[in-house]
Amino acid sequence: MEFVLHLAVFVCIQGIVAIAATLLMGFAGLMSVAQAGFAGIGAYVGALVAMRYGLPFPLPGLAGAAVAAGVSLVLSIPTLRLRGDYMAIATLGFQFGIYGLLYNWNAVTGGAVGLRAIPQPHLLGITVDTVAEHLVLALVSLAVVAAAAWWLGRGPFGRLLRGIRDDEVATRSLGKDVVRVKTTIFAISAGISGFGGALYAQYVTYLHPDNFDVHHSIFLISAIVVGGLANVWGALAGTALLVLLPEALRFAAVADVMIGPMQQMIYGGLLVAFVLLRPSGLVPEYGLRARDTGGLKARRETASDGA
Amino acid sequence: MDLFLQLALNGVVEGMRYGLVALGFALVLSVTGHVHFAHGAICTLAGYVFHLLWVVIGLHWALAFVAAVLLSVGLSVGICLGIYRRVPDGSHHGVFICSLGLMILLQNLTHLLWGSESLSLRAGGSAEIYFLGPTVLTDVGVATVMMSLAALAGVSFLLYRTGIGRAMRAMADQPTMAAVVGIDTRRVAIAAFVIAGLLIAPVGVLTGLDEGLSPHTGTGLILAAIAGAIIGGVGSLGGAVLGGLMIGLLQQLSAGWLPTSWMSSITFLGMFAFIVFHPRGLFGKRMRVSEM
Repeated sequence: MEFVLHLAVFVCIQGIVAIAATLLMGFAGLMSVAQAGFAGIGAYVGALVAMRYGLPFPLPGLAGAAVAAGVSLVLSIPTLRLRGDYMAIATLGFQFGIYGLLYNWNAVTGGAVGLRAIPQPHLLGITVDTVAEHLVLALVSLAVVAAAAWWLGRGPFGRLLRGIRDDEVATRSLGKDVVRVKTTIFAISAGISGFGGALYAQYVTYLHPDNFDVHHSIFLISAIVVGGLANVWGALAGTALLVLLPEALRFAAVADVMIGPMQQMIYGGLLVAFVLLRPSGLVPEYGLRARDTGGLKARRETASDGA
Repeated sequence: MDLFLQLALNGVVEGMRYGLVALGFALVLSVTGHVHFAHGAICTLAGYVFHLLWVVIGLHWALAFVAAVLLSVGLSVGICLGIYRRVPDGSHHGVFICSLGLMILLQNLTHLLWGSESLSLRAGGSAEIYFLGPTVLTDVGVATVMMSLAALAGVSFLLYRTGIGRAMRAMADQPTMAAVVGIDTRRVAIAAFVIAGLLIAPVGVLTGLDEGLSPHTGTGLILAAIAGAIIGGVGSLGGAVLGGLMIGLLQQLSAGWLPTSWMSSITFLGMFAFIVFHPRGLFGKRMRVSEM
């Protein structure tokens, strides 16, 4: 039972980071391999704030979010003018830069030893120290983040993001400041990742740079592609599937040393399979795709009728 | 001073290996627009298959080498036709994601089949050593440098002296126009992946002989090669090799006074700086693939 609750907490926390990723990659169509790095920045900042100042619950997470969002500007401002895949490669470089910093800045991050004995969250005099209590906290955090992302995605800002994704030139021609919108969504996404990272730090109470390496960034991309891009439910469904599926291996009598690589193979294989066979993911972007292409087809038909 | 020279020489060998990887990566990227991460994973797999056939089964080394090359060309073309070209709408992001997924898939397949310990291809026999002044160069080092230079010459000849090369340059420059004037873009893309496959198998074998293979070998190589290709300028093949060379030198020389754990951060921050301030790279303009 404890293990089931633990998995649930894990899905919630990873779900928060996956929602951040889908805001950036799904809604705005900006590829990033640095999402794990931003979660790492939030995790370390949150952990350090909690360790040194003992602040109550949302504050370490918010501090982590603020720093992650700030650092995202260093990445987004100079790279957003670049072509899509160049920017993606730049985020890859940035991911390695962040990882290297976490791994080597011994005085602050503990380097390869990591950070230990991170205090668990406390709020109104109550310390959250059982898995069930952590689950409540994670669920509430997830609900807030999911609601915010859903609201953001369906409102005017979300339309702007999808506009940029689907036709950047057209969006710019409507007088929209495309670069500012992109910088904003980058910061929001990094901030939410950072918040999720801090939550993770205070749940497992131990941090190591390897938790935030490039493989974790790829895991997040897998989660949102499998679940369905540009969709809060998709991000959650994908995360749940990708966290739980490898756990099934443990019950399938697979040798312990094989679990790691098999898990990674599942992530990689699902990624390829979904892009090729079901690019809309498990939960397609609600209603939008069908209606859009329908409209486009209708327009094309009218045009050819006229000609 | 002697140490510096030795490190520099090691850097040249390492860098030539990166350059060889970068050459195929840059060719594929400029001709087809695909960011081919799986290139590195193919390299590892070719090295392991060479080990299996040569060391384990005991085939003649030349036969084992040909088999490794055939496997790597087959995988390259298979990935191009079976995966990259089937991505819906040919979306660049789709291909990028697929190639990341393939890299993870192949790397961990290697891990699953051969385990995670480092595997040396030197079966018993030790390396032949040459003295260059105060420094030492192994036979594998000599082979690596010669192979890279020959590959660069060969690919340049192909690009500038043959019909398929002209078609490649056309596709790199103006993909739509190339298709309009009747170039069979599918065939040209296949050719680019065949060359990439031909170039990558020797890297796996040479790396295995030089420092041993692990499932992560190719991932490290492709990441360094991408950094090299960006710094050298993606459109330029000579630039890609030179960029790889610079990364190798930088990594080996910095190992003289910095902990090696900083190496990948330095490499990637360097690449990041180039993307931001000089996205064209050092030679992106002067020696473009697409220059007619």
